Amino acid sequence: MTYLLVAGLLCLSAVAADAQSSASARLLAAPPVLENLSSEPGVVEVKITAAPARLSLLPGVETDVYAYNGSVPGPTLELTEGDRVIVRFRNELPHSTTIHWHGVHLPFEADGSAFHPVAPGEEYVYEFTVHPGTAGTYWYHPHPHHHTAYQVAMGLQGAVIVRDPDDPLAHLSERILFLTDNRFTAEGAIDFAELGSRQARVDAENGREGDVIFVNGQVMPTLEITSGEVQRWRVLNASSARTYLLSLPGHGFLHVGSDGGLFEHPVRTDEVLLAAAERVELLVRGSGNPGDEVTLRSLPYDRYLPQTRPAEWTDTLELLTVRNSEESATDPITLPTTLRPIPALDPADATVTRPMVLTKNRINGQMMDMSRIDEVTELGATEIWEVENLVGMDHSFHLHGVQFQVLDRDGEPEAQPIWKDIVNVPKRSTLRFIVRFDNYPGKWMYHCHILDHEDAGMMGVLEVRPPEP
Amino acid sequence: MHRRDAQAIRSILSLAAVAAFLIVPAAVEAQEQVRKNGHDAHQAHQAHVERNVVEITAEDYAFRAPAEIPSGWTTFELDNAGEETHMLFIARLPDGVTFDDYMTGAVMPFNEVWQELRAGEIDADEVFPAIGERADPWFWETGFEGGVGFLSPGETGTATVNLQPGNYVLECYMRTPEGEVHSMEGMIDPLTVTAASAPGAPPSGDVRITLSEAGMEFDREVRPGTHTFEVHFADHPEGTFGHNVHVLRADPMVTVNDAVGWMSFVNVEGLTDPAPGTFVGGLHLMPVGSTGYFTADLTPGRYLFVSEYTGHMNVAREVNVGH
Ligand SMILES: [Cu+2]
Ligand SMILES: [Cu+2]
Repeated sequence: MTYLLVAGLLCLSAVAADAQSSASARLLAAPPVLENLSSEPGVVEVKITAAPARLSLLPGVETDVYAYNGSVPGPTLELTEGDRVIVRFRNELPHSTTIHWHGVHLPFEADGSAFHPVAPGEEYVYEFTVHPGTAGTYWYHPHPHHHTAYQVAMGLQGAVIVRDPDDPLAHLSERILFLTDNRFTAEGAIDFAELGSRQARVDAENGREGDVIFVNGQVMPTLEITSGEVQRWRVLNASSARTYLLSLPGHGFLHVGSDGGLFEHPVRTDEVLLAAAERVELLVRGSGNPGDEVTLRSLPYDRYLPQTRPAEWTDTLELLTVRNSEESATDPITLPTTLRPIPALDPADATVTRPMVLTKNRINGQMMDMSRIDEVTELGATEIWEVENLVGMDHSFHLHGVQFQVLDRDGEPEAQPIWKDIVNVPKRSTLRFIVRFDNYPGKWMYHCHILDHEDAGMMGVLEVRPPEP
Repeated sequence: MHRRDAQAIRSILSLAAVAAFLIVPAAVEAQEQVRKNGHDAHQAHQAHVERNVVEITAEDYAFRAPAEIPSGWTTFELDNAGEETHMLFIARLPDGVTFDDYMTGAVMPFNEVWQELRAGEIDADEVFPAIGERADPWFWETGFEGGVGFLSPGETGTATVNLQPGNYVLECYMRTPEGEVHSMEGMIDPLTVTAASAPGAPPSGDVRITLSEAGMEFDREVRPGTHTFEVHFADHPEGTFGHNVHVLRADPMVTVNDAVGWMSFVNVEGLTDPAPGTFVGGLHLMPVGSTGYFTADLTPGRYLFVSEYTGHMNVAREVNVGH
């Protein structure tokens, strides 16, 4: 009798364990973290190699990719304000490449822009110190002239998280949601449009979008939350062109951070627009009963020209399942109403208003020329940039090496100063941002972050010069 | 807005197209000469007294234009800040037709056919029949409401027309050196004309031009200086898009036929730079019976006033502006 009972229990637990493992296979997992090879306090030294690999991106099929340290997305670089960072990069790709540290305030030589290509077989050391006050969510990706879209689509991208030792939200449990999309052939190869095809024209116009959406490299994973728990989500749009309009039915978000870190004041919202390369920090509160599930979605958003607008643009995309865990509800937590002070840059300090006119694949009527300097400013200058999108589709605007504050959109002032390094400029609209060029002289690129547009020439160069002696 | 018979337009247009598809653009040195001479026309406009002026900038390849304007007499002032020739073509959409419909039902079929012509997949005489088949049927009810004719880089031109409330499109259908149509590259915008009326009044023209199948008639000699041309659209030749007038400052080597050939939609070398001279202004297609105005600053020299779609029917005039 007894042993039968035990056998029965074992049997049950075996089934439970099975269910557990299949469920955990679908649970959202963070990308791996880069190992710090330095034992010195305040120093982060990592090794990154870009190389071809064969990985399973879709269940049951292997795909030829390019990977940072063998992983797609690449491993996360975890940093703390004040860290001295040394990245030893090796290029084992068959092409020249770079690593661009998107949004990080660092020296020109460490920017990894097209000005510092790393040839196949070569190494490059990126060295910088993380500035205080820059805690936030950043990312890294290749930036070779004309080939960024291809290399990113092949799998080269990863997250950078910079932490504040006095993070006001450090007590919250945190998830990274690294969003990418891709397109595959029936054989599982990454699918690029044939040159001259209708799809190639659509991709050139819209930027290449994929029909498979990944969160941390997983398709529709499950994220668990306990009833009453407040989680901090760092959502990063590493897609080449796709814009997400995030919505979590029945929940809503507390929007607490942007590209350059936390806001001063949190903002309640039900939808968050996230253009390619943008990041947000969102607080989400588990509010269902144990076992309840709700889907994080991307709602339709029309960023397209009528002639290339995809037929399925009105579809709602499903990104991941949020499941209320079986655990009992956690105690409510209190959140500070002020997260950190953000001093507003003062338009009265601006020495110039620089017009940036966006048309197809051009900025101010010009296509990118590596040998041309489009704009010149002096180190320490404060400037207003007026970005005007004249055409009938959204473009974005990214400026290397600095964070800026949007002043107004079509004349409507922003609610509060927040730090941005990339901003969506909706069709036929104008926005102004204010920026200060501190610390680092050099040649800084600015461009549309729809990567096919960037590659086609929708990019320019600002030279920041040291003051004349 | 007058309704047109798509079938008739198609068949006759194909003939017109062949007739218009004539002569290769003129010698490059001639063009450079007129280009140099043409740049001083830039500054001259009339004072905007009592006028409802809408300023529009042409860039490569987009307009900077308002989204909404009041109805009534309106002067469109087009400043070509780009490096290529542009135009401002104003079309009024039939009721119930949206800007997106216009893109997918008109601009895209035109572009498709153009790309097939350019690729050598169809012949010039197949172009307009193909457009007739592929454009949405409502396209033939689109109202052509004037606008500024071809304008060379650095030039400013105005067109004054009386606009009724409705949904309009501002468009440039020039082509890039790579053969892409400017509107497909982004040089097209919706414009809403509201019921509110602007305090505008028609300007007083100093030279009257009548466009008809009989030709292009001027009521007086054109002297050097800035002129406001009053243009009367007396008829609408069957099977054409109607009359318009473009003013080209041209070298003696450039003929009317050169200019008409360059303007032809079915000329794979046409509607693209280099232009056969400097375009200093003009007035785009308008409904029969209407009157519109345009200004142009004419320094002494030789000009060709040419109607794009009826120039091959001799709706064109060589005008020597004396010293
Ligand atoms: Cu873009
Ligand atoms: Cu144009």
